[in-house]
Amino acid sequence: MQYRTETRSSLSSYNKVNNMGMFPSDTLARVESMAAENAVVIFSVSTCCMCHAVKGLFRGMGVSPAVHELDLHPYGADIHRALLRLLGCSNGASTSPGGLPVVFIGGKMVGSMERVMASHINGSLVPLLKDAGALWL
Amino acid sequence: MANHRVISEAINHNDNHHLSYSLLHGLSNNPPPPGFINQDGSSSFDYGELEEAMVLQAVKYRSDEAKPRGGATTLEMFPSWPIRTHQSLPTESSKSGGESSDSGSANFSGKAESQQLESPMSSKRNHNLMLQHRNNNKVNSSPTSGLPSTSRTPAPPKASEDKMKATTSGKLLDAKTLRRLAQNREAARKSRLRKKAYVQQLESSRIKLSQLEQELQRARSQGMFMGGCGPPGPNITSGAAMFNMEYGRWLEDDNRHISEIRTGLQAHLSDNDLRLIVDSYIAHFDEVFRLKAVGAKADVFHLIIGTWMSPAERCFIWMAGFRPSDSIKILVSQMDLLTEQQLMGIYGLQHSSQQAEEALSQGLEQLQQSLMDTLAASQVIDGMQQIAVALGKVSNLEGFIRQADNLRQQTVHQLRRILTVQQAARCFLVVGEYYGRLRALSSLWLSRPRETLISDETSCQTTMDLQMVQSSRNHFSNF
Repeated sequence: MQYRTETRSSLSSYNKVNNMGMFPSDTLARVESMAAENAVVIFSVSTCCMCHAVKGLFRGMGVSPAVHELDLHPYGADIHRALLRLLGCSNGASTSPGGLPVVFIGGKMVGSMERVMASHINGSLVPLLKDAGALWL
Repeated sequence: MANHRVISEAINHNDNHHLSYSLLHGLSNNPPPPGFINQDGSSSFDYGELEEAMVLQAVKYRSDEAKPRGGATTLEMFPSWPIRTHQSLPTESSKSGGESSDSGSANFSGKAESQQLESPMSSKRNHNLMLQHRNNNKVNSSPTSGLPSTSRTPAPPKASEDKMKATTSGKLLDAKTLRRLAQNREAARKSRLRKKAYVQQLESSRIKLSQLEQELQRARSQGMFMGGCGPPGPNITSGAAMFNMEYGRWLEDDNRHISEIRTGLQAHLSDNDLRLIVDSYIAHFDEVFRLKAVGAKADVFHLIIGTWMSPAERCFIWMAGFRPSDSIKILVSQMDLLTEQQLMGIYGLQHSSQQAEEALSQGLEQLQQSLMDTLAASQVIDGMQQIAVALGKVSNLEGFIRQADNLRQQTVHQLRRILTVQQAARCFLVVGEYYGRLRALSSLWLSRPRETLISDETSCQTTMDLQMVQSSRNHFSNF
């Protein structure tokens, strides 16, 4: 519940600020709900190697993320497009082709592999995970 | 007489026929060893009966044909020579022979004009002389032996000459002949020596040329002699060559920055002054990551293989560069006077860097596995489609290299945040010097003396890396 509010407000603020226009609200809602389900949510593609790397990173830290393989998801394409738009406005261009993986922690979007690693190196990732309840200690 | 003439003419024709071959062969053949010529000299002739002598002559011609016409060869290099010297000789020798018999000399001079070659002429002359002076076999043998041997070699001249002198009862003409023969010998020897010298010169310039070509190839692909980079493959892409050049320039800059930091620390500059130097060094570091991003887009394989690095650096290569956690290890071992918080921060940085490296390595491994599966798959799907899928997978490599560089960049920035200005300067100096020593080690290893055949190659590399060795002395002075 706490997560959901955060997601909705953050996403709608993206909407206002960046004038995204014709955004299918049900897709957005879906993304929201998926992102809110777990402390750590990864949108990935089953064959993507960078997605494999990011999964490995979290698992190596002792976190068990919720992974959504969009190529195996019924609405995967829509979700992918929505995510790309979110990424396009908040980050720079993602370095991995196709924009995935995209990581949400505590309902908030962290971004692609680049952002995840940068936040891990500068020490901001672990507190974030702790706050979201994904990590103890 | 007629018979002899016929025979000798026949033999002459044979020789003329072989003349063209000998002219061709003569230029390419080496001068014959002296021993060979001696066979035609005095020692081999048997002055028994006429028939025996004729047979021997015939044998001699045959052996001449079989052998690479060594004696003739030497002279045929300068075909103009024999003609001049020769036309006088027969007349003189015929004169000398003519004392015993006029008909022989008449025959002889007639034949002389038709001849072009010295050796068959001389042989023929000998033949005729032998035929004419049947009674004086021994007498004739010496001119016979004397003339061919002297015309072909400088060696064993004295004995036959003496014989000739003695037997033809010391005439003035013989002295002239002797002089001419001696001159011939001298000229032949000089020409042989010149030829040898020329061949040696050619050989040495050939070696020099191959060395220069190697140097040029190295220089062209690297742009400058830095860090003892390994020799590039034959097919270097333009993107790769461009990157090598840019990286070479960056390395030069790096050396400059490091020495600036060193002097700054030694001069105990204030924090503000040192901060400028440190920040410019970080900007310089950002520059290399930008270069590598461009290089990865142009030629990702070139970056991964790492020929742009020195061989020793390449030993430790991880994702087209250094391992960030390794740099932190180097740093931790050399830095002192860190507060506990700073130490915690640095160990935390090392830990998270290791985790990130592990994750990227796992991702790359999966990429390699996936590529292997794609390429190894049997042709269930269309071959072109398979290639397209494989190409798509290869395109992911660039992303991994970018992420690895991103990791390196973030590590450098985080270090700057954790450490004070002074500490940061010391840290960059320590790590910079480490990699400088590693590069110097490469150069020294490459230019170490080796017991190979081509020692010139080693010395060539030594001169090339001399700059590096001299600058490496700075690095090694800190050991």
